[in-house]
Amino acid sequence: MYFDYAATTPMTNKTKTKLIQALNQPYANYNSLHPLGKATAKTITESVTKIKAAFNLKPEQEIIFTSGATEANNLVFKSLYQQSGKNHVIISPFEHPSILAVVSALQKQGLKVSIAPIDKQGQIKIDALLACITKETFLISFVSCESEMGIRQDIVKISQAIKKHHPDIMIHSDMTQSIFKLDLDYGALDFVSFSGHKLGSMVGIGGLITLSNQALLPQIHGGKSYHPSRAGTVPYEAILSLRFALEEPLQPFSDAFIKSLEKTPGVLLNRFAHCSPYILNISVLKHHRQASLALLAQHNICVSLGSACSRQAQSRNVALLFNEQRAKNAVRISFNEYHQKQYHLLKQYLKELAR
Amino acid sequence: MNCVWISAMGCMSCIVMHDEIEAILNKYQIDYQALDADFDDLSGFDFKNDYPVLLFYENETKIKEFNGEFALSALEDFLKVARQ
Repeated sequence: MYFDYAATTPMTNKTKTKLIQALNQPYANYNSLHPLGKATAKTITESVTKIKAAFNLKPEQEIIFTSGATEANNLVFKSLYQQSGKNHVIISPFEHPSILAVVSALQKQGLKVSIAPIDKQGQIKIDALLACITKETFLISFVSCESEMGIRQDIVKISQAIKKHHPDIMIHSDMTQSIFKLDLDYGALDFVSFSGHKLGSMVGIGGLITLSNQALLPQIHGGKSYHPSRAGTVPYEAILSLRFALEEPLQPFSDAFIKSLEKTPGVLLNRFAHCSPYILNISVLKHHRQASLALLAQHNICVSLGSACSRQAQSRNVALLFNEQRAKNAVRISFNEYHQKQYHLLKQYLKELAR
Repeated sequence: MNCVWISAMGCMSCIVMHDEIEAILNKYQIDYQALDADFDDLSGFDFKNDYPVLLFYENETKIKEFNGEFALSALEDFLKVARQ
């Protein structure tokens, strides 16, 4: 039983069928000038139009296709650092390792970093964030939905407050856990990163959405591609898989499921009202989280410790908002599909685990 | 006295503490070797796997280790005494 959709959401049978049907038709390189190349380019253009519609983008807003959110995050941070001539960024305390790694790398080149202050429920304090801004600040980046507990930020309110006072500062959000599922109003954001495989496409496709059409220096140089900021042959199959994945609805877990877990002795829910309905973080008091993971795995139940890319022995984010003991026992359960029988079995095994 | 400073990619504590650690090491004129847990060979070092890590050596013997989100005041206290 799979409850790790926040790590990757496997393609549904419908998506696979549509993709195979499409790939059974002849196709060529997007840049080729012969008729098959032109037909391929037309299919790509149609697919991008549908992807933009699913993401609630205006026609003039662009998607720079990348291999995923990690590359998109690298592109926006590195390009703006090179272009701006400034050296200060502000990030939230909940960023994914793909943001932290690029920040670490740039820090060694002289980048200064501030962490946005948060309240007791993990939400960014806007006034305190504005107070962190300096003359050197060129980018503010905050994750729209944190990946361990699903803590959501008010991206509209935060981005508009920043732009009101500092219209020249670029604002980026890694929306990998919320785009399409939860957030379709981007407020005053300039850039958004996403990964297709969190939404049910094949792995290897994602992008950086340029909402204000700010140009970015490419970090990968090469031949003509879909966008001048990122070279490389346009990934026809991957873009089609993203298009078809976005035609499939995703389903959060039910309130009834949450309520039933709240009543389970020995299980604590690490969540607030504003958390994502697709991510549930719990602490089983009796077991360290690695033991819980192993015991559930014995019943073929797949859950995770948090971000699959993290090396931490405890959940840093749970420790930050709750306490160390809960952090050591914290397990993430994540959903995108509803299967009543599987929910029932999961609850049963969690009760046994906590007993 | 030699110092080895080990950071890791994707480590929030390393990012948060970077500038302050650097300022303290510079203040006490400590020569340090900066290593990265993801890219450098750390097999010759014995330390607790909680980043950032600061290892201090005197004549090739480890005399002090700081790990994780340690108190910067403890680092300063150690260096004040060590530099006397």
